[in-house]
Amino acid sequence: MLSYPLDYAKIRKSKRKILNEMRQADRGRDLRLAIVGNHTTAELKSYIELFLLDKGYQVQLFEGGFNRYYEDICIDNDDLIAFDPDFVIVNLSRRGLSTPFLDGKETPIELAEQFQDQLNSIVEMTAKNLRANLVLNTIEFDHSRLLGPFESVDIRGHVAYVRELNNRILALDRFDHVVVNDNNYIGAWFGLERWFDDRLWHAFRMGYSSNATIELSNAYANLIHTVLGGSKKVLCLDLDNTLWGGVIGDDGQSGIEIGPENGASSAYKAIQEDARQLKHAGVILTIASKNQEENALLGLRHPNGIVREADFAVIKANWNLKSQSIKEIAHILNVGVDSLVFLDDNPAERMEVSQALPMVSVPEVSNEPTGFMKQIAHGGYFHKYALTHEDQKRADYYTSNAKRDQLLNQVGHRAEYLKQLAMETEIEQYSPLYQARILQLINKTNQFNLNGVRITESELAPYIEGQKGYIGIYGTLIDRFSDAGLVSALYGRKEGSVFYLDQWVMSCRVFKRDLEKGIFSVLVNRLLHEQVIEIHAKYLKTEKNIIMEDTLQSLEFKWDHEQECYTYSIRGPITFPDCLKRITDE
Amino acid sequence: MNKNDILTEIQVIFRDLLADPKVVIDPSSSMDTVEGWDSLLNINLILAIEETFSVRLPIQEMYAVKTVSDLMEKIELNQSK
Repeated sequence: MLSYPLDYAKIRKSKRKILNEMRQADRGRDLRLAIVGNHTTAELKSYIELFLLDKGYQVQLFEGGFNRYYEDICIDNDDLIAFDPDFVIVNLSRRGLSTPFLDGKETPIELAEQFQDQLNSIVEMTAKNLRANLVLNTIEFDHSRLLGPFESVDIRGHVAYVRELNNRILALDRFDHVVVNDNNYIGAWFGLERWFDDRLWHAFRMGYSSNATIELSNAYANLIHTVLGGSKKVLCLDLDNTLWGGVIGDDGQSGIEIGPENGASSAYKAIQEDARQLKHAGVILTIASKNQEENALLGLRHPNGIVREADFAVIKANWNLKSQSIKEIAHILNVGVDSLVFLDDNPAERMEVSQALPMVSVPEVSNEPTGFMKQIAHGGYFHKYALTHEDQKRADYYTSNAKRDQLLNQVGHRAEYLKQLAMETEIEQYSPLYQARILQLINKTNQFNLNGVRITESELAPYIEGQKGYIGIYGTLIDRFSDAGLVSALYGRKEGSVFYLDQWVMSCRVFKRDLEKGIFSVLVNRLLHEQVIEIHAKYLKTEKNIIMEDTLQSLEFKWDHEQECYTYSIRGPITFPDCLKRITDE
Repeated sequence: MNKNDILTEIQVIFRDLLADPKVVIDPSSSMDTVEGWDSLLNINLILAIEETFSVRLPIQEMYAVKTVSDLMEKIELNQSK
């Protein structure tokens, strides 16, 4: 019910019941969320909670006073500061916004500047007083244009004025702690006529229609989940009637539908174009198809095709259950099955996968190809807030894995294999240049993760800035086949002679490459310099970080029963692994 | 649809919205007597009534709803249109 397409009436009716049920279950991840705005936000608040609970967050909420968003953040802000939110949503509805009139008292630009001053203070005060991410939004266009085209083409018109405000709002996205939800886009997608309910505004000062409130809450929850690293990693595709029309085994290469011709061919070509777009954005493409492998490859070599064999990290074309193929794909890629989205036109296959592997996301698509990628988009599975260099490199990395496997088979033993990979690494202190990637890596990594703790941009800031006592170190990895980019990050605080290692993550792509040994050696040698004699690693067992305990033990950390943490006594420098070449700027 | 049918449907809506299967209402029930019937519930109540009975309340009537008999009256009035 809480996935696309949303059943508004049903959600409205059962909201309280679902909230009661989900609040009781232990959801795991705590999230403190403040919502302030320029209209009655109570409904928005409860629906956002609903969608966040559904994504596995335990939500604590703070609601500002009616139309007191500025005061709540900038003036009477003791309550908000005491609440200590992870996220502050400042929700501004078009309905609650004063717009320029043609009486000539204030020019629209003057009004826009006042509005921007107010937002600037909000951005500044949030950074100063809170460790939270600030969620702003673009303003929707109004549902009607009293003066018709004038409203759009002249800054004194409502539409043009809102466009001016939106440009100013979007420019605030440059601040690290600010994210912008594009409410104007969502309203346009939904239909502005239905986005507002003037009765609800005039009677109850509600900024949106009830259906729009539900849709908008879903969008806010998706945005927060995306910022916290909740997006999926792998798209697993069926072939016949999913990537092309028809059955390759029966129809042959010339018989399947894919290409520029009008009709279904064109729709399947559009799907392949979207798949390629996802790949370039860092989504790992894979295939689970019931086919002879040679036929599957024949289909992927169709002259009109857009995605090719080399675009897929793993191709499973066989007669096994698809859940079996998906398990193998997850194993080969070294990711959890919950990182996968499975797209298949066949409801029986979807059901088999959903039942065998409930953690896999399986969008319920119709049998109509034009809806497939829409469903993927609306589900929010691969939403991104920023696109990093690593995102764009990721797919290449996975597809070059086949060459690495070949090399390993050739040379036989691991030490020689690592040597032949000709690996180079840059291991340095955090820098602002890599902030987005470091944040993404910490919030997305599950396996090599010291304790599962996530971090916000503002919490990361002192490590990026290298404030006294705050130490953050990252590592990159390049080998002869590809550039994996920035794949490991750790941070902690030095207090006296102890270094508290608060977090350490490493991408599963580079396990078993001795990179952790290299990073640890750099850390220890630096701490030696700073007269640190002991490292306390704040290890916590999570559902997925089994590898972490093994790693700590192999690095000679010992469990300390009194301190309840893994400790490492620094006795001297550690040698840097032979198989890695450390590159530095100097 | 007679008055009793309407009342039964309204009761179902109340039970859903309040997540309480035991709530009993009658025409005299009001925002003062039904626990949890606040102004926010009122909005969802009106929207659910609009969906269930395929009616649309104009703002004057929407704002005036305070008791179950108000609701019943609006439904009958708007359905007969």
